[in-house]
Amino acid sequence: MDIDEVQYLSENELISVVPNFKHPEINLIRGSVGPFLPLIPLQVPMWMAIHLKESHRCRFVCPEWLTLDSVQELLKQEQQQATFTSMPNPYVFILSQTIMNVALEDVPNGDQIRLLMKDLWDLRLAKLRSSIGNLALSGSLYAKVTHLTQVEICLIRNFLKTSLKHIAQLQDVVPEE
Amino acid sequence: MLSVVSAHSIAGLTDVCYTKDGSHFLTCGQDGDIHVFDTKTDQIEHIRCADQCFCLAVHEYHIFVGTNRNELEVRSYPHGDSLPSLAHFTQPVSALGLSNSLLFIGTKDFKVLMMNLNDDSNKFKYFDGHQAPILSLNVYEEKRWIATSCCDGSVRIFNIDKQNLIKQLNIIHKSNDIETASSLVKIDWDKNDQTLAIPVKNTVHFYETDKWTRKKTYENDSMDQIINLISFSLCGTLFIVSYVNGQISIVNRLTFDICMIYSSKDAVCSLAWNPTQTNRFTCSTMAGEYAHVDISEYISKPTSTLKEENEVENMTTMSEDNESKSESLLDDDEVIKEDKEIIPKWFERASSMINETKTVELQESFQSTSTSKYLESRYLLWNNIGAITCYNEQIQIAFHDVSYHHSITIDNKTDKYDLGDLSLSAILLASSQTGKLLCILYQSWDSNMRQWTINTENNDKIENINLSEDFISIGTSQRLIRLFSLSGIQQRIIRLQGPIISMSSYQNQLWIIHHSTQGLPKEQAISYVYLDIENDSYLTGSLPLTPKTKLIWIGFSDSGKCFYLEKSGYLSMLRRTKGNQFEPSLICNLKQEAEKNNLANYWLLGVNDFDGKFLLRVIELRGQSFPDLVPWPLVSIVSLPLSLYEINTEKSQLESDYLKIKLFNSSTDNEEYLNNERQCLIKMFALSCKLNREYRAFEICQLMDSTALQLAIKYSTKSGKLTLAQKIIDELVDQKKDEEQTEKEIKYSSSEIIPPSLIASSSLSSTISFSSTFEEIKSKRAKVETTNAPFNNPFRKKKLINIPNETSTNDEFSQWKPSINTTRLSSTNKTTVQTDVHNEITTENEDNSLNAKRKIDETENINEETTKNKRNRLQQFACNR
Repeated sequence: MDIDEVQYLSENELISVVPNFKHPEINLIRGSVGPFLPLIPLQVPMWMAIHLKESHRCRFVCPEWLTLDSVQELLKQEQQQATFTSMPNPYVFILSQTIMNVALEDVPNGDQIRLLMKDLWDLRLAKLRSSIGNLALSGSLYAKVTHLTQVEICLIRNFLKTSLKHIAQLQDVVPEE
Repeated sequence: MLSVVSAHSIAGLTDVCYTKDGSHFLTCGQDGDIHVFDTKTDQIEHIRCADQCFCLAVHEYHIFVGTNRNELEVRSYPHGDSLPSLAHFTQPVSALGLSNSLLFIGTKDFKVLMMNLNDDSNKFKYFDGHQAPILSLNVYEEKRWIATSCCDGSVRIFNIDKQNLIKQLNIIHKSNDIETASSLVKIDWDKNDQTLAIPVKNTVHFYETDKWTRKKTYENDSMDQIINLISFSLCGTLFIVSYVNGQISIVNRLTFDICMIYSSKDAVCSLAWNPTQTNRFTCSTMAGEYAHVDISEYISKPTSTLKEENEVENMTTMSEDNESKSESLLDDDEVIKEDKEIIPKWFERASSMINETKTVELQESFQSTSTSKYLESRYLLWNNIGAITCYNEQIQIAFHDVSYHHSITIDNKTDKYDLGDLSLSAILLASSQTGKLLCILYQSWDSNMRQWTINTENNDKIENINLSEDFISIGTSQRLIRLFSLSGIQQRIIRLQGPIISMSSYQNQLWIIHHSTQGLPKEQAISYVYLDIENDSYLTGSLPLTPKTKLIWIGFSDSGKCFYLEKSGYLSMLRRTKGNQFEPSLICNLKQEAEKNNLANYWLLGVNDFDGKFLLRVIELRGQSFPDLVPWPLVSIVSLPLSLYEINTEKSQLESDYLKIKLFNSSTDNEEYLNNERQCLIKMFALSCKLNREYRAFEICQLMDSTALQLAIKYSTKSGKLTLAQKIIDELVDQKKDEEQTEKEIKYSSSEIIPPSLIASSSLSSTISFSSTFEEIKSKRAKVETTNAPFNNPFRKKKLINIPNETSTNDEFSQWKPSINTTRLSSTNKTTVQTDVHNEITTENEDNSLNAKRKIDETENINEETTKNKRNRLQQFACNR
């Protein structure tokens, strides 16, 4: 599974939007959406929200976790804890990226949040790298990591797999004393 | 009463000053204009200066104005040509003082500076130490002193030449800005007595200038209002005190004897003495008005001669007792006390009576859902169809459903529209300032001329506008309601009893709220006029308010009931009684409910009340008092309980649900409605049974119909309340059956002549005609199936309390089905009476019967439909077509 697939999966998440048109219920495989009524917020899948937004048929309702306060709080917690903190959504980074790209004007303090999300992302990646390093150095058989988001798992999977393989190969070659 | 003349269109700080020769006086106000008045010929010259003017001073050929552009603007006098400005600041100039050629400037950015106008070097001399905006300043040139009052709570006295602080008095009330200051603290020097007079709360302190100790205090016991300004007359015998409630007192300088009291609606904020006629002064009020006052009669009063003597005495004692200050102070106090006794008792009483009869401040007119007109960017309207916003001198009309119409932007620079309304066929904009009315028929088939305008005449100001289905109504300052057709045909002019507050319409019914005659002390009295244009009916009544509050929203609910909201949060409804009158009833308190949800308030947009549901469309306000334009606010739909006592208990909540069903039903023969009512009653019954309150349970049973009664009997027998069950069987079941039977018979018998729903056509019973017109509308509208949560039946989601019976409930209902359509509710007696009445009526006007029959067919069709599929109530809310 690569990043594109994660992106694809993330678009199945629900987000509330405020439509500016009227339309009866739409029946989808995953469940029905609608009815759409002007100004009444409702939950639609992300892919539909993106499509509606791009055709100027809705506004996004900024999710609770994408406000300046909550992102700041997340960053603070992430900084304080040595381990990973739980994210409000498994696709938090990809979703925030998508929302910012599509509907920056619907997110209050969007630019600041973008910077904070970047900080959060960097912080978590740094943690991830250091924990991989620790794992390799300690030579233990496994390491338990919690609260990783999909995209992070996806990002390290290939690298971790190959590097562990190399380590194993090298260990096989080095004769034991 | 002060005979005021309106000069500036926007209320707020207004300044006034005289030219040195007394030939002209100038006023400036918050509308940014300077008016130059000729005192002899009454000629007026207008100078457009800025958006707001705060203070002005005039010197030979120049006018100095402190404006919102944060600079000291200079205009030529008398023509007002713009000259290069003298000084720039970071905040507006708030106080100006002129003494010969020295100009003193006090600003909101804590600065006081002086410049010499004869000196070309443009050098400023600063007086430092202020820690807040400057309220006022006053120069004593002979002594080379300047006194300043400042929002940081201090009055400071500086030496002009050395620019050093002589004395600082921390006596006035602290505030953070001039607008929020409780008093304007306009100080004045008494040059005869060498004192500095400072208004402190409701007193004036007089400080002598040698050691800066308090010499005496003026206080009027009957007044607890704060004093805004004090000013000594040029002749030196009187001083003027102005209170924030608009009263001004003319007081003898020495005896503190009140010569005259004038009252006005708004506080006097500035006062200037006529330099040539020293007995006259001109003052300006916070409403942008000015008034001339002549004080000559008070100077030549016999009592004042008495005081002249006193004054001489006073002076002599002063000079004698110079060494022992404290004694002289005491003496002075005594003198004052003695003098106070001279004042006749009746006069004091009279003055206090003047205070009491002061008129109540009547609230201004407003358009429902528009935000404060003092905001730079604001909503003019938000209704079901769209929102009209005003920002950057542009009007934007945004439709909620963009597929209905794209948004429209109109330039607002010249016309200054500040009122707006929107319907499915037209946009209406009006300006209270320019008196222009614009109507855009955006859905008209006539594509050449889609808009028309009209101007008001004879100083008539537009206060309020409204768009109904077929006509436009305009409320004006002359207490008139002018009706136009949509295309602009002038139709009717209706007179109102008092100034209009607001109006609202539903289809072709117009509801006008206006001030009526004097209410209880310190409260306003509000009345309404209810017009039905189609049926030509005119109803009036008074609108009850909670104490000391004002209206902030009025409007019709989606089903056409009148609702009004007070600032205290109380939402009330006018309920139609059977006698076609309005009963005002309290529904809920929005503010309290909002506070329960940790919100500041709800901004009400509309009420949806179909079939026993009571949903409010609101914008949630957190911290702010009005919704912002950016980001575009989210509409939420809330269901609030009625404001019953102990609403947190289950009992009160069920009662609230039941009352809602009773209050907000439009058609009583709807099966869903009956089911809801039964469920609610059964729940209440079960709860009372659980609590062992059998008497209450029995009372609830009296409200039930026979279907529900069966369930109640079952429930009570199962839960072991046999006496109760027996009592219900004995007393209620037969009675109910009889009632229903008689009702059925009446129905059949009446249907032979005229079916009961023909009642709908008769214009006399408007309650039912409401519902019938509604049905028509509903039938026209597309039906959408919803599973969306906010509009679902609240009872659907909740589980029935009496679960053991749940399966049997359905059986019972299906068994009883045949009777359902014909059964009426508990109030059967009343309905029979009503139908009887209508039998008589309908025989009289049989002309209607054709029309009516068509209506009946429709309504019956709908009844059938409703039994087949669950109808969605949302169509009314959604903008449809």
